[in-house]
Amino acid sequence: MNWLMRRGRMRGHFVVWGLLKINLWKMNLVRGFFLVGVLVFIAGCGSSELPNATHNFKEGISELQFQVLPNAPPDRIYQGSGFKIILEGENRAAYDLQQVDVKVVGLDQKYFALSNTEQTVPQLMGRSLANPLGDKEYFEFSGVANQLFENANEYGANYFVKASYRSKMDFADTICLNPNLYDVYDSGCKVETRKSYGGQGAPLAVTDIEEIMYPSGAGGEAEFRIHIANRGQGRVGVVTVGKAQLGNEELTCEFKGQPSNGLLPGGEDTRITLKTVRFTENVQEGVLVCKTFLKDSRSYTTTLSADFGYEYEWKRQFSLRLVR
Amino acid sequence: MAQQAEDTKSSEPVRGSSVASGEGVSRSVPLVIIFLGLGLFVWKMFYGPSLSTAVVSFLLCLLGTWALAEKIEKKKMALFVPLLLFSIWYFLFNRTVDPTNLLYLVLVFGVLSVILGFFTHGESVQPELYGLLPVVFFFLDIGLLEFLKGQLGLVPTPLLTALIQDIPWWVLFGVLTLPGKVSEKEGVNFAIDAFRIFAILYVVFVLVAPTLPAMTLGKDSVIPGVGQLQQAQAAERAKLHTESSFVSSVKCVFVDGTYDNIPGCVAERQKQVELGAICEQERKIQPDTPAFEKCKEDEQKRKERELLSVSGVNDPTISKPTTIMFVQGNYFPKSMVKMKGQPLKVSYPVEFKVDNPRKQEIAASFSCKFVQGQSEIMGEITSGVEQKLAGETISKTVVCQPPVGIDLQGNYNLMYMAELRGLTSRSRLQRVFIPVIKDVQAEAVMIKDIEQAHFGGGIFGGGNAVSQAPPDLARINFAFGNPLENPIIKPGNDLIVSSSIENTGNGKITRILEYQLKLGDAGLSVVSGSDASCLQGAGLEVPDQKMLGKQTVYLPTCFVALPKALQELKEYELREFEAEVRYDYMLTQTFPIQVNVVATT
Repeated sequence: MNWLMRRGRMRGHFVVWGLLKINLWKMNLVRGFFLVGVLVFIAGCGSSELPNATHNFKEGISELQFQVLPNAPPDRIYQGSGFKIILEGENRAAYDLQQVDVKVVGLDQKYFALSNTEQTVPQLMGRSLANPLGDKEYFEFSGVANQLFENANEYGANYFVKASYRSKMDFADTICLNPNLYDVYDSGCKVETRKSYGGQGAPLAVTDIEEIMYPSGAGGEAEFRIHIANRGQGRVGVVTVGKAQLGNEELTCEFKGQPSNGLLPGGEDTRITLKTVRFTENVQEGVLVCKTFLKDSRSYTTTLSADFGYEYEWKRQFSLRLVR
Repeated sequence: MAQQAEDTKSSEPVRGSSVASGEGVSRSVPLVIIFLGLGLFVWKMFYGPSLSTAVVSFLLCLLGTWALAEKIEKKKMALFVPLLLFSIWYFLFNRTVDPTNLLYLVLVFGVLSVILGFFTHGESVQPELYGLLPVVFFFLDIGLLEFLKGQLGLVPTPLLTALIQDIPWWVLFGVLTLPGKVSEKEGVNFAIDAFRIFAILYVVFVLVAPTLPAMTLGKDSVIPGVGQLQQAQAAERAKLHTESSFVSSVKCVFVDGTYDNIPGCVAERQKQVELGAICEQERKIQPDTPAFEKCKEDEQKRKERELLSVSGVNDPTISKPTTIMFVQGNYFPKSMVKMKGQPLKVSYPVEFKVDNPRKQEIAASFSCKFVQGQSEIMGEITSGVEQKLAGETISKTVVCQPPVGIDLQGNYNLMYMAELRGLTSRSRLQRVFIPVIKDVQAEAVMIKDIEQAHFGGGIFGGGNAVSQAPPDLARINFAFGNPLENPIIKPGNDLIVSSSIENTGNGKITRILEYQLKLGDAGLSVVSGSDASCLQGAGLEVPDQKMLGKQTVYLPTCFVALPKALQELKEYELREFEAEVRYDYMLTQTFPIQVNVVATT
């Protein structure tokens, strides 16, 4: 009897303990779900793409981006049927694009007769506080697929989408100037002889600046070597420097590495001057050298700024398949 | 007495067992081989190879085997086993490379060796191996070059040809079989031993060299030309006597007096000799006659056309070929018996099958004949001589009967002929026209993009830059550009146009009714002074080219100019051009039959 009772008690304990465990587990589960839900809520609130009021778009490398809309064109096009190539162009750069020209190149009209192979948009606004996503434009090319050769099963064609436009890039940074090279006790700012940058919100970027001071007279002479390079997926053509200033004073600048007679390999371009550089296919970078005389002999910080205009080309290969 | 023994000992020839050492072996046979081999070599250099030189070479082979027999003490007859088998392969099997026949010969050799080895307790193995040596040299002397060209379809480079042709092989063999101690002077013996080693290495190299890619070419003569390798032509040309490059060099120096440009002189001499050999030996025209000179000129022009010959390929997007054939059915009486004096009442039906995926309408004419040796008896087609055929798959029974009153007896080849008239074949060719680009680097990038996108291969890459046609019985190959093969055309220069009609079926083109290259659609026009028939023509004769394995009709070439629209492009343009040929085609197919006649009882 006692044994039975003991057994019963033990069984009862187990049952109670089991029930307790279940209850505890349920409570923890509820707590867990609650915590996860709170976290999701916070993350969701915090993941909005919309920038806040102080977001700087003029940083990093950004450019006009294209993508083909799904089924425009479809994977297979039947002979004798119409088709469309629709490209969505989104300007993710921080600057407006001028004269955006988009072409479809390389399709044989015998098989794919396009009604238009080129479209131009006068302007595509860049990203800004007023337009944080940048302008988006759809470029549509309509065509008709003709007949296959003899009793061929299919015909495959590669073609290129080429886009070209003009845009600009602004650079600005605070730098330290110290014309007094021999004063080691100057408690002003520290000169950085070389500074690197990650881009200004365009495919063309100022990558480095070298600061060289020459003691001269009351102040000194400052030389700034501004290195620019193409960091985008396309090709930069002609780059022109606009206004370059140190504080409020204009700098005297010229691109280095130009042929002295202004002629470049492959032909003459009358637009090329000392304020202009043409990036070649193999060399997509340049150096702008700016100089000025400093009046103050003490160290101080000021703003170095420059703006550049450039031509840009981008291309990408796509395919069409004509089937029976 | 000891001195006498020594003298006796030194004067007696000692039988050796090794070819390389060959101590004390008689020198007479190897010396005979050397001198005869030298004479043979000089004769062939000036008069070329012939049946006589082949016979002499074979005799030298036997002599060489005998020379080796002196080195072998036992089972000398085994030396002749490799020679016997080689002769069977070379003369009876006609240097076949058919794997079945080769395997058969190797098996026979193996079985013979095993049997001989069994009965001789293994003593026949060594002689058999030695017996291979003279065989190898015989092959090198008379057979290797022709074998490479004729049987393997390879075309040796001039270097390889010289390495094989310009070596006195039997002299080498004679030196190899000289005794180890030829002279009392150690220096002489050393030089001969070194030469033996070099000779062995050289033989091995020559046997291996044809496998090296750099040693063989696609061209089959010193005159550049011939877009395609033709086995039959190579075999025919291999039989022509052409001048050795060594002899040409000697003649350039001592006859022509050309010291400053010997390679150019040699090339020109060899070209003239080859042209002369074709006219004299193939066309059977007497040398030093006006007809001979005219023949050389025509042959030269033909070669120049072949220089600009263009090739084509089957269109990879079209898989179904056009085929025609006669098929012998179960009711075809291959063999039959008739009573003597009774008329032969038999019909020979065959099926004429056409796969016609492009659904052409074909007018066909059928005929047949019974061929026995040199005699031919025209048969009668009772199923309809002229027929109009249409559809994707065509199958017609064609019945041939012997003419009434003709008594057939014995073995015949029954030849069926089908002439198909008005067949059409179209080809297409892609070309890219690029704008003027002042920046050299930018132009290079554009060209690279175009090559990769449009001529990189595969279904999207265009496959290649040559013309493509469906797999029909004939096709028209064409190309234009500057240079011809470059599919990317820059403005500025005139473009050369070249085309040919190639027989790709199993019959013969009998007539070219008309051809057209549709370049005018893009505005390309023939430059004045150029042959306008390069773009279209009609009623062409088709030469009977026996030498070539495949018929090829070369069409005229010309220059065309780009229209203004294609010279002032802003972006590149890809265009596809078409060409078309209409032709008549003849298929001939033979079936053996037998008619046995028995006497009436």
